[in-house]
Amino acid sequence: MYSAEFENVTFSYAGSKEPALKGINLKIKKGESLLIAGPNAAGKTTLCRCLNGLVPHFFVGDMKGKVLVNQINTRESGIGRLSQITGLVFDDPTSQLVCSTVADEVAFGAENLGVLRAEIDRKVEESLTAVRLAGYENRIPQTLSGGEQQAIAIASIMAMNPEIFVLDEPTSNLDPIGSMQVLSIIRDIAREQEKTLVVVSHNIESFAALADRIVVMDDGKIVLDDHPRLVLQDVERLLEMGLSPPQVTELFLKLQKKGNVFAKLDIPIAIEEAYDKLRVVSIRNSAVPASREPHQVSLGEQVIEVKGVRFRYPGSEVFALDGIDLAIRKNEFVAIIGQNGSGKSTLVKHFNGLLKPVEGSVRIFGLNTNETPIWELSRRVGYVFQNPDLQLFNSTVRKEIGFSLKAIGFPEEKRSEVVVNLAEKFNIEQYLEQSPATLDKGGRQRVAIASVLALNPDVLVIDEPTTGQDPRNSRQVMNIAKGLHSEGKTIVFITHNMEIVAEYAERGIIMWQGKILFNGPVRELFQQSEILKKSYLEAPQVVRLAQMLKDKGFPSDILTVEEMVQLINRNVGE
Amino acid sequence: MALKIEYVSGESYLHKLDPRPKLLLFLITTVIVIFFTDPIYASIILLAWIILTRASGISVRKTAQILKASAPLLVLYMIINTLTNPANLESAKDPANVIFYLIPMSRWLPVTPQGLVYATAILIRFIIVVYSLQLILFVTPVVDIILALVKWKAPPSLALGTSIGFNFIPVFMNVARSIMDAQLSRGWKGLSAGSLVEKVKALPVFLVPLFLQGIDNAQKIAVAIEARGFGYNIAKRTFRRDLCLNSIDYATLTMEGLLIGGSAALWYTGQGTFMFTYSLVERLISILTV
Repeated sequence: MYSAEFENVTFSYAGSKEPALKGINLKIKKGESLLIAGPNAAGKTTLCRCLNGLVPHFFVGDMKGKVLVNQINTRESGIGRLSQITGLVFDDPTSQLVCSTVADEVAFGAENLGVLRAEIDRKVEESLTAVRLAGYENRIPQTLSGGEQQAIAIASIMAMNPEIFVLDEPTSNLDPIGSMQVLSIIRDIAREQEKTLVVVSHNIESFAALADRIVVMDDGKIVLDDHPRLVLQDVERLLEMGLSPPQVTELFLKLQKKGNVFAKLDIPIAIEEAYDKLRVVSIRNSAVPASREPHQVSLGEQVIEVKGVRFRYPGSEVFALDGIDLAIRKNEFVAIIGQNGSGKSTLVKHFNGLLKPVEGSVRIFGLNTNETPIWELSRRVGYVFQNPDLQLFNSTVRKEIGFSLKAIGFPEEKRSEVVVNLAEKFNIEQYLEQSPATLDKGGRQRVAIASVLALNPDVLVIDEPTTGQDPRNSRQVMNIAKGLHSEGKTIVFITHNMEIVAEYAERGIIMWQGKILFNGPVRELFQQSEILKKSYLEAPQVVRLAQMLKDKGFPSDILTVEEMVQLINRNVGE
Repeated sequence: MALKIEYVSGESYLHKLDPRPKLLLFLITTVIVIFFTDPIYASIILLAWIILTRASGISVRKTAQILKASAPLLVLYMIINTLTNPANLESAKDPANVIFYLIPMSRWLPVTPQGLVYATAILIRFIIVVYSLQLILFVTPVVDIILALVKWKAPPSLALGTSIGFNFIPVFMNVARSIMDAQLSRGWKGLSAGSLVEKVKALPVFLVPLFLQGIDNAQKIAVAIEARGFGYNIAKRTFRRDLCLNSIDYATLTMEGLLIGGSAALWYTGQGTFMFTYSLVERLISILTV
């Protein structure tokens, strides 16, 4: 018995020449848990939309083949009817909550279906208990944390009692606490035999363990479809597509390539499996073979100086920053991590004067931000926002990149040269006369960064380049940052992705409730187990693995898969 | 200057009241102050609303904030009204009534005691309407207002659409703030700098992304509510909360009936016009002059 069947489905959105889905054949068994992975624009979201009739009823277009949900042809049924079979949860928690109390929000779907009132109250209670938010009935959804909001979106689907749960990147916009919260709810759904679960996510590491099957999509097609262990065997292909397989899987694949003792073993997909396999190895030479340039304590001039800063937002009682002292020197590469609401964005918004301290002082290249206008600070500190669409408004990429120059009165004849140079550097020179809106997200992001760099700032602040992005785009932005760093720029970035921190940053700052809990080299950061635990952060998988194997002589300050591979190879004979 | 759409939770009489008699109370008050032009009558009604505010555990200052914010406007309104209200125009025909001219040393813009009394009443009546509406908004969740509208046969899709719109305002404000920050960060000087022409030229920097984000967000919301069965069978949609009238609601409705009846009787017998206060003022003046 199948919950959903795709028979040779091809779909193009109205007005688009390229099909979003190309000949999809897929059968999902009742009770099965499916993970769908793939790069941006692979067709994952379109596939989800097919499961409740949003495609082709809300998003119209040209559809060939057919989709059956519980034997019902979606083309012949409305979204309303299909929503009773398939519940869909989206990635952005804020734009799917529409009511003024949590109880109303959870009841919303059931009310639409005309469920009787007594029944609705029971369902609201049950669903809120299931997502561990009982007692939240009268809270206002818009004021809750991202994780709580996403939990409520799931609860409201539960209250409609669908057979199929479809979650389209449910954790990609959440902080680590929120992700954990939502992950545990999804785990419960996966365990239920009666419910079919389809999760789209880039976080293969977290979801592979609870999936019965992984489907990998690329360019509108299904390219891999099998048991998780078998799909993950194809690590190289996944990496080529810009996906992030679990680090332990990547580690073993790289070890096996050397043709050593590991070649005969199964590839692990969870950290415990890797631990079991590596327990037999003993490490004699535990010096970490640094895969990246060693952390250099920069002794350059101080570019950012924060002294005794306290800040609170107007109308708030709580200090969002509570006694911050920090100095950032020229050419440092700094990661700021911590949960949402810990003060990361509030802190970096002090670096270009968007926010001014209530107490204490912030100096940028010696300029007091209290006395210097933002537009002047923007020539020294560039700020790249998470969402490029917040700043793109010009009719061409050329005008967009040149906007800042024009704003500060840079001579027109020299402007073009700067713009063309930047466009070449970021590989967007062929789009100079096009509207930025016509580019894909990665392209728009490059335009946004180029437009910030037009003023040639010495410091670049990048706010959450990894949140809500596919791994390929995140890396693209981080590689741009790395290039700029090697040219002598100072980089400060905010992220929830610890692998990115381990791979790129030299210095790490952990924030918690408006205070800095840790400020030091990244290699030391991931050894602060107490601080990490207190702030609900988790080191990358390969770091945790090395730490689990400490008694076998593994060094605890490994940072990347590459380092681990070299370490093991050095200690294990061919 | 805008009314605050904000629910202040509480357990008071007004909080417990069904939204229908609650909204009716506001409507009746509005109608009464349209008909009664006397400042003393109006003051009594305003006092009643202030007592209601205190009884609901809500700060009078907070409720009156919108009036305070628009004080300059109210003063201007009062001045224009004093000069142009019918009582003033009528009585000014007799120069003996004029107490002073707004432009001294001339005979322009006369002001009479009748006109002043009338204008005072208009001001208080205006304050009552704004103040009482703000109080009602403080003690009634938006959903309840929507439910009351549905009960009064407004189409549910319209009512729900309005409610969703209200809840979306804070989200949209955040987006607007982020756009402002993003543009300021790249050297934009904002909307307050420069000449008028420069300001107008600067608008698209802010408005274009806001508009595009607005459309994007609106579509996301539309998709999200469709996915939860919105519009499936809207005529048969159920509501988790139902409105049902309790004893306090019936008591209030009875009281409101009496209020209407009493006011109608007063009005019918010619009471409640500004002449009531004016006659007192006249008597006071004659005592003082003697």
